[in-house]
Amino acid sequence: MGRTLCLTTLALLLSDPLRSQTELTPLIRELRAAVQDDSLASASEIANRLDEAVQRQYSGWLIHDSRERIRDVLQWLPRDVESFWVNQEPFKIEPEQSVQLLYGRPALVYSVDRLMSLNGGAFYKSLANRTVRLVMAATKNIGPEDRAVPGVIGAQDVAYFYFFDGPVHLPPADERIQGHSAWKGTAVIDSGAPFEPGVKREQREDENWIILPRPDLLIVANRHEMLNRILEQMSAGSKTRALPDDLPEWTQVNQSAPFWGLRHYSAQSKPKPGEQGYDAAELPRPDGSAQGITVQFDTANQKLEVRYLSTAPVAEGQLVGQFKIQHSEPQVWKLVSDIQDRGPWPVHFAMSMLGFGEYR
Amino acid sequence: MRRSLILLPIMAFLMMAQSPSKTDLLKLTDELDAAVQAGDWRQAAQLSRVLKEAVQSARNESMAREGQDLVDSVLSWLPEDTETLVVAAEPFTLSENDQRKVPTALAMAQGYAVGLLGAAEKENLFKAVLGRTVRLAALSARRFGEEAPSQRPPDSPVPLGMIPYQGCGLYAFTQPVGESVLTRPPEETIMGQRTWVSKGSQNDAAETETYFVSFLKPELVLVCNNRDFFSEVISRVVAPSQRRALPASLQEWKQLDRTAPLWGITHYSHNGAIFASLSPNGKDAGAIGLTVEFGLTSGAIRARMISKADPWKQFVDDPQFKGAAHSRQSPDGVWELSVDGKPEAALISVFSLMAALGFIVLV
Repeated sequence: MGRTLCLTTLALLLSDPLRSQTELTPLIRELRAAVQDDSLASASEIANRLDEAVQRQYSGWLIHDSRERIRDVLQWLPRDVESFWVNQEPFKIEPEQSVQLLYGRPALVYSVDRLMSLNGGAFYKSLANRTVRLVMAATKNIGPEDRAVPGVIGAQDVAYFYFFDGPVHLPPADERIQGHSAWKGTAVIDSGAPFEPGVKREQREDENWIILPRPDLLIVANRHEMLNRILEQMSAGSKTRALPDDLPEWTQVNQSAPFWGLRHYSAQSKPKPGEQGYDAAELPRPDGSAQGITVQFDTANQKLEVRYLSTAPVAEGQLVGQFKIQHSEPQVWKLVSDIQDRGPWPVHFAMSMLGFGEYR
Repeated sequence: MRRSLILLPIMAFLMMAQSPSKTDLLKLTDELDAAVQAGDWRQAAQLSRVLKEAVQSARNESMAREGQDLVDSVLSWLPEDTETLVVAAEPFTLSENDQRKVPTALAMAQGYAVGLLGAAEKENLFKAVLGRTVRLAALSARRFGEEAPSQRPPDSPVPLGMIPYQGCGLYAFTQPVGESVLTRPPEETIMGQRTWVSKGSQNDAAETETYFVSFLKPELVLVCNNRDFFSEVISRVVAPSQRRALPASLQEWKQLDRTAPLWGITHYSHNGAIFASLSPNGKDAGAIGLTVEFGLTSGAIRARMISKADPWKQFVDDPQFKGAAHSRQSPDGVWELSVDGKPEAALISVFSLMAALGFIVLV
């Protein structure tokens, strides 16, 4: 309830014209005076600050309905979804920027790498210069997890939801699925098998479907079954939802963060008694008593926080030097990292804990 | 519809690289104000971006003439044996490295221009001027690769990072900086100039260089990594010499467009081996001199080499340039390299062309 109120308040603040006027009007006044005085060096500095403030307001306005859209998507998703994340930092699709160039924006990489790769990038290019205001992704049937960081996404079921700032116009559809325009997208990618030193990586052709169920919403999914379920629940409605709101993870995640996610471990994702890692977590793999994890990434300030919910101890292993580990609440391990200092590795680690890897 | 129509002439100014008038800027500011008051954020975001670029364009235009005059002064202040000059002629704001931004080739080249400012005073000078706008930066250098005997113990590995050189950076800010940014009294007075002296380096060898910082004016900061170079510049500022660095008679000047946002020039007569050393097979193209220009339309880069053979073949063939590099020989025999403003080619372009100017970074 408290989180819901917080998010609602944030959305209201960001879209409140009166508050914005109070913040921006003095800057506009300063700029006007500097231009009048021919103080163009000052004017340029003020115009930069003003533009930053206006773009912030615009981004806030673009995601003013994020709470409702997140609730929609959770209702459309199959109940057995294990992991879910939200990128609510709007961005423009710029096909000339490769994944390598986005090195410093890992949340963006995980948001677009699959879409970018399909059909040799042709589909992504057709969306050039469009603004994506919200991305959500969900996964289930997560297989054995890759210990390498950044890891490679496995063959699990995934679905991505892209909310655009307006209707998108795409090439003629390949087919129709449940009455919606659909395109097939393929890419040759790493098989996602656990990393083994000296063993050549296998590749496989990965098949995906791209659906436009609404003029401003694009869904990318790699399983017909999951996609059909989503489309059915979109049209018929659903009284259930994925990751129900009574899960303990919801109290441990800040939904107003630009990027956040949570995972509630299924039984198959955890080691069984007697298996390695059962008694103590060897993250990114969970231990036997783990409940779930949450991730919140403040991209503006480059602060990352992962909360791991488990009664078992956490082996420091790969975490040393990358995270500060805090155990301030029982059963909650907080892993905190400054990405400006550390670089993107801890974000890749967090995504690995969420069950996601890079699409390459 | 009405707002879009008003935007058009302003955008046309920008596209034609003409400076918008005061009336245009005020009109655009009023439009932005109206969009903000109406809570029309989509329109406000668009107007604000155009306004920022329009004001920047007007500022750059207003500073261009003074910038050209300052470059002429800098050339008269530099020692006669200066080999290379890099000038960041378009104003830019000093900022911390933001991992989230994909840097342009121009921004990376500006990074080279402020290299000495960043290295002196154990980086504290740079931190003190973060957020300020540099109206012009001029980096001059000579004797690339010449290591002082005392710089490195015998048999120790060559440090990674910038190779040795003697150089000075002159940084003209839009607002006075003042000596107060340095929180201690100067160590020395050299030729009447209060001078702050510190140790540091531009490579992974710790504190092998000595930096000299002085304020020629409150808004004009000089940073050098060599005492002799520093002293020569100061003496020429006080008593200008008739003979200047990189004289106007050099044919390289004819190849250079000094209105480019960032440009560089080198004359290889003092150190002809530098460019040949960059060739994978050590092949000497008979290079005489080079000019480079960054930040051209759509982020493009241009370099012109006066040489006997095509010096750009290795660049054009290099897959790291992602097919963005093209070379041709102009009718006057000069070899021209052009690199499209492809973001993926930016890093390798700046790295390679700055190396060709002498600023070789070992990795």
